[in-house]
Amino acid sequence: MSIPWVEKYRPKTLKDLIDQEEAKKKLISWLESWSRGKPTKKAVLLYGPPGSGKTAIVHAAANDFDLEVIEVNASDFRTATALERTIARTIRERSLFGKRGRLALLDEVDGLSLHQDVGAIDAIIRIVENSRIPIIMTANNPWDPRFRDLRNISLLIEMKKLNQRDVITVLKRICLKERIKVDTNVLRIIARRSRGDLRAAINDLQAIGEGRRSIRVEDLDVLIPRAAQINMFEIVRTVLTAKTPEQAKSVLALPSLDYQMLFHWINENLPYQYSESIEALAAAYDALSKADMYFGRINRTQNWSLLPYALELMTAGVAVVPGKPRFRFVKYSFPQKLKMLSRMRELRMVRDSILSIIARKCHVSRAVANTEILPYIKIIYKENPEYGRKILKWLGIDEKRFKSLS
Amino acid sequence: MSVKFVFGDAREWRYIVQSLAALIDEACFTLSEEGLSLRALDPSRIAMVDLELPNTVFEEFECPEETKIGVDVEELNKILRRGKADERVEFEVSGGRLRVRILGKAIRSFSIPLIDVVGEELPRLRAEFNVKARLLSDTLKDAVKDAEMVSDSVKFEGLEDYLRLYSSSDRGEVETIFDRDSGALIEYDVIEPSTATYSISYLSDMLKKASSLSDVAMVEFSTDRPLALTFEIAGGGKLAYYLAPRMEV
Repeated sequence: MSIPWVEKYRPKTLKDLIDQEEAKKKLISWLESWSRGKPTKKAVLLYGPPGSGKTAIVHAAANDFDLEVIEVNASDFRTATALERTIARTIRERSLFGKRGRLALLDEVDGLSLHQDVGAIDAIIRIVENSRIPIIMTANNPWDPRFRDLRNISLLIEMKKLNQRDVITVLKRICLKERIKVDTNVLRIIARRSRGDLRAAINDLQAIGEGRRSIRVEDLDVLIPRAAQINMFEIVRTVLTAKTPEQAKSVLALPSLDYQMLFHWINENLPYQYSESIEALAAAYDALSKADMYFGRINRTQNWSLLPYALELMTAGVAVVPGKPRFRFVKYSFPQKLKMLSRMRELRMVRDSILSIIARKCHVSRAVANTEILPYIKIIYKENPEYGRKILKWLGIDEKRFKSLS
Repeated sequence: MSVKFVFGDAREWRYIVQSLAALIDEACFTLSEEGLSLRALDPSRIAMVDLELPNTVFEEFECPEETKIGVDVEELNKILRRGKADERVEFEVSGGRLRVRILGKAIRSFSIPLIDVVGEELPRLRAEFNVKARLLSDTLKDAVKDAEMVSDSVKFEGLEDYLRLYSSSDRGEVETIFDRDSGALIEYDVIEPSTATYSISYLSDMLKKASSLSDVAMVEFSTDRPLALTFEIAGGGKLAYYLAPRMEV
């Protein structure tokens, strides 16, 4: 096995790191504040999409500042105890090898899950508080509510998604060093496929280019399409127009597929796609209803080993039915049920806010306001709008909001 | 072609392996004609262990060419826990496995799989020590244990005439003085008076088992530089630990 090119061509200094000027500037001034003495924040939360260079920028900066990197991955700090073992007891030491300092990198903190990794976030916060060395965390999505405490103690630095031109520049550099002759068109295709994920692009380049003198466009065929996040419309279309069970099930391999959402989408759009054949529609709904039963059982018993059956039924079971109509393009729509639920939620919120106003003004509980007062105001408003408006004004309720209730 | 070596005292091997286990989970031993050696960093990279066992330490030593063997330290430890002082222990590497035989009244054979340990090239330590002290390992162990009562770090002060271990916190202060008169210091050499602070949790891990290996420990350090803690093993071997100093605020 040869060295992965992602490692081999990892930038040695910040100068070699493509783009991200904003992030570089922030990171440099933060590290400089450490060497001057007291930094305002002891930790940095570095966030950005996959392959934008989060880990790379840390290693490059560490090189520039002559710091030794202690790197731990999410899997190493699942629990508070694991954290204690790996870094908590080392955040106050100098470098063993005479480097100017040390730097702790907690890679992919969003790999932590709140339920399993009890105490890990608290442990990280304690570590940051006690640390005498810079701590950098990386995450794809820092806005997750469970990171609120981490955000508060950290300086947030964003790594931007790389654009196609940047990806091509890096790929070109690598080809030059590997002495591979390559057409810019080829690089453009690789770059587009990567969707700004430089790591993915370099891996693809290595997969087709390693040990070769030149790459042609045809060589790109070996790359299987990357399972990227595609939108729900495409996912539903894949399932409903699949010709084989495998095709329909392929959507389950998508990263971060929201299967509950998919269930609603299929439920909503089945009749549009299958409208030409009542039998097919019946069979498909039969499969979908069985999937629903499994979901119900999972919910009741928490027996998650049933999940594969539900998933299979709602994809392959729905797609492969007797008398399935021929493919035709239909427009899909967002599930009505979800729309309704969100509308109801809004209504409920309006009603609750009105009830609170009544409750405060009339010195009753909101429950009493709901049963004893609100219905009568509604009737009065309907029968005698003039008088109703007076009551609303006295209570201090906006008439428009009140009207949206009925 | 096989690698085989026999060690006279199973219990001493157990101490050696337990001393390694204090810092590392996986060990990559390098075997050559000259003997056995190992250099490894603990996962947090602030402590290093350096084991050297020349072939003279062994009763038998057979290693035709340089070989690296990776083992799970905990697994090896479990096996060696079964050995006693008057038993010999034989190691043999063949077919991707390490066979350990404890030779006592009966011959007991254990076999564990070898693992791939990425042997990292470790940078050389830039070690110049201004203070060198040879002292009794048990007294050092006690001094560190005493310091642990009040703090999680201990300051080593190498002064002209004596070595002082000092720790303090809100909970109190503890000091131990090693001087030549009391007999705690066997040898003491100061080029330049130095002080440095080190983590107690690491020191006590290092001392816990290694102090059973040798009655005498060598402590070396300089101001705010790493500490070296060396134990000699009968027959010409040595086990050395290096520990990064703590930053003081």
